[in-house]
Amino acid sequence: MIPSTFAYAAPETLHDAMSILAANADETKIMAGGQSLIPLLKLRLAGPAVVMDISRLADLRGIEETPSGFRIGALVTHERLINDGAVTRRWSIVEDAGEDLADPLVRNLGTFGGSLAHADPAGDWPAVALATDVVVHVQSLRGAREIPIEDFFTYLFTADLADDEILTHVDLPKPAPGTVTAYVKIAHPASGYAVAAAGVRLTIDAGGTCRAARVALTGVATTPLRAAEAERALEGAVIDDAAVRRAVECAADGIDVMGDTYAPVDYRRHLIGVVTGRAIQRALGRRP
Amino acid sequence: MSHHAVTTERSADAHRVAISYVLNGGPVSCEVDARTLLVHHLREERNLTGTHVGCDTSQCGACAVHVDGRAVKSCTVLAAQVHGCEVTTIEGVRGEGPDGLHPVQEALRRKHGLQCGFCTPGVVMTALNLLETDEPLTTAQVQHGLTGNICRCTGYQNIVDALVELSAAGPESVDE
Repeated sequence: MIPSTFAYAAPETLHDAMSILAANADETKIMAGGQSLIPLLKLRLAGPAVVMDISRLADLRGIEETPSGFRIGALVTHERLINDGAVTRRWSIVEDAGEDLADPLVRNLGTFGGSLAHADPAGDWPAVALATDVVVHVQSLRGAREIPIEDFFTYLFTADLADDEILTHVDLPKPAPGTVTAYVKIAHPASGYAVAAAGVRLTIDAGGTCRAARVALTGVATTPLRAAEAERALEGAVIDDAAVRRAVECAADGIDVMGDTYAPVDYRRHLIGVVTGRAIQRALGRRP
Repeated sequence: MSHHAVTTERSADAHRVAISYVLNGGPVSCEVDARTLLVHHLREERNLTGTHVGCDTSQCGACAVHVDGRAVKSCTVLAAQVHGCEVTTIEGVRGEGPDGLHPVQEALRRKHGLQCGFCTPGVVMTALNLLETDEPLTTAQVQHGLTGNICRCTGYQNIVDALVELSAAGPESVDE
């Protein structure tokens, strides 16, 4: 299990990194923590001519609190993010997802930004990102772009990133008052990947009416995605048992659910309802 | 831009990479193939065979080493990535007891937390991170902390018992 030959570049500045990409765009893979890329290289499912290690770009390593939320650098590791009290105090969903994300050794190297760019259809962070409405920032020598997360995942392992673009940071907003969140995963017992998982964000006013709802799913389709029908069932409704039941019943509606040996389509559709219901209940349990 | 952009400053041939790092407290400077995995570099080029290759698919943790103080799977790290870092392998872990065992190793021995011993170096490297806390660890915390290390002999219970007991004795019992 030795990767095929590649050239290695470890630029020290973002400009150098973008220059390398501009010159070798279609044959270069960007490596942040390497925890998804290196297994792919070893299996020779990926064989780029150049591996560009961006771990030396110090500017991409921090979590910065901004007036509107948090600016999370592309190189922030899973471990760093889930132990950032300022983030997790506002976003329980980050702590929930981090608890069972891969394992402690992988969490020490793998990155939040790398996980989004990798766009694994069963990745945990993509669902968290969709539930929290993050904005992805990418840059190339051609300029910078901001991409709302709901437009970011385009297909299996494919994100809206051009060959010459680098994901530099992600803006995580601050939650509106009255917001509760949660993430619930049914993990494959061997791989730990989501057979189905849901990230939920509910903003509920003093009268108990849901003003905004996000239900994000992963592990169930060609991309992580939002359960539009479940969100519609929740938004504007007084959140009681009946409203939750309606959201659970329609959570899989309109989604082209993938089946596999572990979970045929019908079973996975069932699991979508299960994780959606559990995540809603877990979030509601956090109301003050 | 010309193709030379991919050539690092550290080596003329971009498929080879010159690295300098600290290994178990001593400086190392050498050249590696860009594609060489850290575990193979350690075992075959530095002759440190205490770091084991178990699954080679980033699951089992038998290859765990510390890079800048954090336990990572050395089968899923390129040797080139540790340039400028401090790497500690199981050979760099020792204590002041009669056999030179570190308290973590001593605790595993005392509680029979190993049988064949193949996973043990990785378990020790993970445990060292896990025990970096002032609070005593619960059984659940230790179990959760060991999810990246697979053991096929012990059923884990004795490993967990050893680490819970050690952490209950306080941080000074772990430090060497």
